[in-house]
Amino acid sequence: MILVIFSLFIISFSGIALFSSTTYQAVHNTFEAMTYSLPSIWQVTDVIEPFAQPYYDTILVEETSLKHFKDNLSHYVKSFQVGFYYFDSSSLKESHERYVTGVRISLRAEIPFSSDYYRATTYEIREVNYGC
Amino acid sequence: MKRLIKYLVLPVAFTCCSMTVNSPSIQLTGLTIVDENTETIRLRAYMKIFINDTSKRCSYRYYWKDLDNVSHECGGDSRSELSKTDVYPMTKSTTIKKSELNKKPTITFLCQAQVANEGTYSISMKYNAVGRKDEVTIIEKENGSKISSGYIRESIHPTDKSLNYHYEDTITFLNYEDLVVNEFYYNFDISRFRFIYTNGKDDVLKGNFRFAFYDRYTLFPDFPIDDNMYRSIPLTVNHDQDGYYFTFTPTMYYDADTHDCSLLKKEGYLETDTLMLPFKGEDDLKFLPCYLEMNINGFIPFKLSGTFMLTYLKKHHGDEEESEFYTNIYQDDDVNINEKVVDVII
Repeated sequence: MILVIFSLFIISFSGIALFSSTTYQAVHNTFEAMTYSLPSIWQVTDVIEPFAQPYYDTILVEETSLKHFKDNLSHYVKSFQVGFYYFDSSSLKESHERYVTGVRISLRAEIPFSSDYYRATTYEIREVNYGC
Repeated sequence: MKRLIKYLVLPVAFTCCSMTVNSPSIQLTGLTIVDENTETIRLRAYMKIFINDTSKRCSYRYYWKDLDNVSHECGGDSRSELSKTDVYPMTKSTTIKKSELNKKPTITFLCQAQVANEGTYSISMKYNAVGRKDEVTIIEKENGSKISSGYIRESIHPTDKSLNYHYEDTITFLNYEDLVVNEFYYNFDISRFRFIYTNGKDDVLKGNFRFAFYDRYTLFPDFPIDDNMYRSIPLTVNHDQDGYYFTFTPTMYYDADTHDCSLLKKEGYLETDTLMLPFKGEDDLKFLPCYLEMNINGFIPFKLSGTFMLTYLKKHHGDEEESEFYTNIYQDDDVNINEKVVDVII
């Protein structure tokens, strides 16, 4: 009897551990994939003045990143939070304009039987400084 | 012990297996010949790839079939593994020596992407070795909103009746590559795209057709949009001696200066048969996903998907050596109290 209870405990624990680690890894991979796929879509040029520096379009940022997370996390979590913070990459001050040069995106998701996933990535468009 | 297996081990094992099966996904959206000379042909496949589970093995390969339906590997980098960094959208290409094609009059190029335990996605293109490359068959079967598996319906060469091939309900698409017209600007001339319906018993003229495109830049605010950000335009199908062709059902208007396209006749706008791509946002229009949805009564409804790559980028950024700007990316796990938080419940 003790052996059966012990076996039950071991199997249940293994299943829960496998489930939470798989979910955590899937959420993390989804967040990491955003770095490779989406920033090039966000960039727009010539919107403020011709041949000026590129900007991130905040509408595209939110639209595409939310779609990316919804499409890829639907199998793993029931809900999640995405945080957006926009700023000017030169002055580092918060920006409320549509076109910005700095974007910070965070993802928070509850992982069953584990700690919450929280990670943030910051993207900055910076001008090349050749130095002297 | 049997109860233990029945009520605990099997459910846990099933849950773990089902959790990991449906994570990665590949979708092939286009296959085209990008370059051709007397000795070689260069093929390029357009893919959408979502890899959540890096433990899954994802690979693709190019090959071609001769008229006897025998498969042959393409030379060069025709078979490769996909990695985590290969994410949507991406292209992969390979070069084929024409001498490998054994001088067959008509062959079918295929690109096949595979995900372990998930499925195989295929796309094909009919190629006439005489030099025409305008016969393309790209069909993806839709299963609900998510493509679960691709398949190919072979098309017959319309002039090869002597070969005595019998494929029921076959649709052969023509002029696929000419759909986007690049003269002084880009526009979609939908009437250039044609198809031939052979062996079918259904009345194509009574079918429902629509053209839809992903409008991430809100270039066409007057056109109806669905939940997936695709704007659609109903199509009317017509028929002449060369086959079936489409025209846009609603009358459209455009502004000659900005090429802004609208369903409304605004002041100064001219009537047009083609769908203009406005100048606004054009600098970053790298990919324009779109599809033709065809619903012929009695025939399986399907979508003909494609991603057109528009290459009129004015100013590159990031990878270009000449660029004056670069992207700085870094990660942290600090909580920013000023950020705007969006709650998403699936």
